[in-house]
Amino acid sequence: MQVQLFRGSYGQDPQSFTTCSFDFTDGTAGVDYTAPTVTETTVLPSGERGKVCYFDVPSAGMDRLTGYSTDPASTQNLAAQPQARIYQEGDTWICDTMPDAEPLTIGEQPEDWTLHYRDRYYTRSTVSAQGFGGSIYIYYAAGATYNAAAQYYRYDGAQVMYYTAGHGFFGVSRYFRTFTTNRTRFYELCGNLRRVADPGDVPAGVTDPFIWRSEGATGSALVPMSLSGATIQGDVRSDLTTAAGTLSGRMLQQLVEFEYDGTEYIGIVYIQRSLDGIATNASITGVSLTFWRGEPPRPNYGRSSGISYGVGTFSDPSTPVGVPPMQTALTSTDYGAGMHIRLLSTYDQQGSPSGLTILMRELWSTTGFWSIWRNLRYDPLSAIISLHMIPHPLAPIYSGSELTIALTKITVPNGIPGSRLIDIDKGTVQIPEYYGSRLDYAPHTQAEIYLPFCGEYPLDISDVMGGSVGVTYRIDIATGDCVAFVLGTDRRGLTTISKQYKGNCAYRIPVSGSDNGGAGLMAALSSMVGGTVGMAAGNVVGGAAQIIGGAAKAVTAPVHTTTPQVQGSASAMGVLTPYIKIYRVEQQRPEHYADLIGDTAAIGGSVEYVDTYAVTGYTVFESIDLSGVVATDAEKDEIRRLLQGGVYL
Amino acid sequence: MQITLYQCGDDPRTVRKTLQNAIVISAEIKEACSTETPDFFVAYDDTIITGHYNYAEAWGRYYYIGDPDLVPGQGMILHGRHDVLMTYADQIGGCPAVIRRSSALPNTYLDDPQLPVAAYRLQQVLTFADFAYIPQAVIVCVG
Repeated sequence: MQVQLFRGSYGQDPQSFTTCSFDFTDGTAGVDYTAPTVTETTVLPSGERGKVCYFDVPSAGMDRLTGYSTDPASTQNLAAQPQARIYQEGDTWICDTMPDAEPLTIGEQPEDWTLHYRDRYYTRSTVSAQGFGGSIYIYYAAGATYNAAAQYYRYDGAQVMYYTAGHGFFGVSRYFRTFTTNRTRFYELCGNLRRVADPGDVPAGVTDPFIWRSEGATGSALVPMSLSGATIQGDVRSDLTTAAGTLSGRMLQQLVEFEYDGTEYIGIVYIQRSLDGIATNASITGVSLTFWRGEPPRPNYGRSSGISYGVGTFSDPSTPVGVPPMQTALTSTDYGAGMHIRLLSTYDQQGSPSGLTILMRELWSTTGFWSIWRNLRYDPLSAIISLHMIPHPLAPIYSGSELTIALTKITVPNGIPGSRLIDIDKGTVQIPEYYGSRLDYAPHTQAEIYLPFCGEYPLDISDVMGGSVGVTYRIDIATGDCVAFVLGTDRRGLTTISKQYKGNCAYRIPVSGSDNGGAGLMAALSSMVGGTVGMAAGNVVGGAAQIIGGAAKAVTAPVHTTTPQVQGSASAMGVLTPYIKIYRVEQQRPEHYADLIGDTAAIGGSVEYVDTYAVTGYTVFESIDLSGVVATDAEKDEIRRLLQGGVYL
Repeated sequence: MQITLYQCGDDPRTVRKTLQNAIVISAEIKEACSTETPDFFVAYDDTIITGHYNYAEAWGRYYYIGDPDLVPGQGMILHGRHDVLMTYADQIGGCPAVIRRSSALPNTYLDDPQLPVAAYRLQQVLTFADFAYIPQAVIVCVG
């Protein structure tokens, strides 16, 4: 078996790569510094004995099968993976770049992807000697700043399996989001190919560094690949084309082509190379290896027909709208006419009454001539616009001992708030897909969001599924008016204001009791001050003894009728936790559903099952053009009827 | 004429069928018939019956063979029914097509009216940070 390695540099025409070769059988004829060695007595990962060909991938002149982090925030110190290997286990050929890489199985998801990829670099492909046919598809993500990686899929003829390849930023959580948020697009690009597994959750607030473009627009990005004597222009990347036409990095480069027994098997190793503008060693390595019989398949099979449909720009630049900045004009706590907003401590401590209690005592003092005279003379109650509580403690920027109300100073410890408006971030919740299918979206899945003080509202699950939802309250502490900003992050990673809901979170504290039978107290006060009843404002609380006994009791009293009304909130007595409630149906997918009924698909292309097994298994055709089939009309009708009814390819 | 009989265990909807244990026998067409549903007259052979030979190739075409008619005088009539999928499998392979259901390449985000779902709904509740309700008294006054 002759193994050929091609070495070259990024941007170099691969047709001009230097060819190296060696004999897999005995390790002779190894040339160049690719330094292939064949070890005949190696114990394979399976425990069996066999041959393994190790070959070095030099750091100069050719991208290594490695990469290192350029992210200063990364804790990864990625060791170089300068060596790859090819070996055979039983009927299976394996190429990988990590001696201890653990295989993944299609459909299997590691328990912890983050951990998994932090420690393991997967570049592994296997193929059975009985397997044949198939194209190679490659997922790739272009990190405009950091990195790139390949995830490639080789659908199988029941034998061949492929694995996610790549290392480096797989260990960095931000990278995962790429796979999450772009998964749908990946599927579109890659013709709805089967995925190996899903990545982990995406941390909130990560800006999507991935922008797509039409690969063909890069000129030199198209790398002709020589496959068994044939040349396919830009094969895999033709599936990565979007009509958006923005930017991306060129990612794929053929590194190795080797043959086994002349023509029977061909393997190709792709290396994921660097990004535009980033040094080559900043790349993520992705290696895939595929084998097939006969002529190379058409790699661009199976594109979603929806990719190029329409004449739009396929460009959707967005300017996310976040929580707006506070307007200075709205944040003042003191106004020219003397109106001011002050904070009072709420809870009485032993031997230390709260500011609220002290205020009440002062306002309703029945002892001390001057206090009584002051209250009757200046009527401070009429100068209190609002006394209420908001559901969030505030730290004053300045503390004072006197409060000026109605031109008179009352000795009450108080604080000056820093702003009339405050923002309270209630956090973000991830909305991961439960099924990873259409069932995660309306009408199968629905959601509502409950926002204390604002109410309960329907939430369009299709806006945020696969993304996240954040809630931030902006509260006017003077009135209790609040706005709850609901920020949605869609699966692409765009975070913007989704909805705004208004409410009021002030819990009113009555300071007088005109509608609470205050006549008795009024009479008492009158007797104390000797005929000054007429001077008293009507804002008198009948149950003053109760009020001044403690603020906690006071808050249960009804709202004073003459105080400017701010709608109190019953929410203060209800659930104070914002939440999202998701309702989803439960699928009753029977066994063998895919094999006997088939899952939905939107695949266009040539059938080409003969050589490539591009599509296998149960398949229902929407339509087929039988122009090339030399058959009678009746036979074509029958073929079409059968294909549209479902066949096994 | 010569026809080849096979044993075929594949589902009739399989395009490229796996054919086994081929035997070549002589056959005649004794009455007018179409190439879509030909009747092959062959000599009686236990093997055809006991071996459950159910598939045939003739004229480069493939046929399902139904239950044979036994004819007095050591003859059998094999009723053929043209399998257009197998016959034109190679040509079909190069045809442009759009596929809407597939077991191998599903797009799970497309709507599937055939997928059974239960009538009931399951709930999931995701909570944000709560208001601990540590109240802050605020007074707004003029003075």
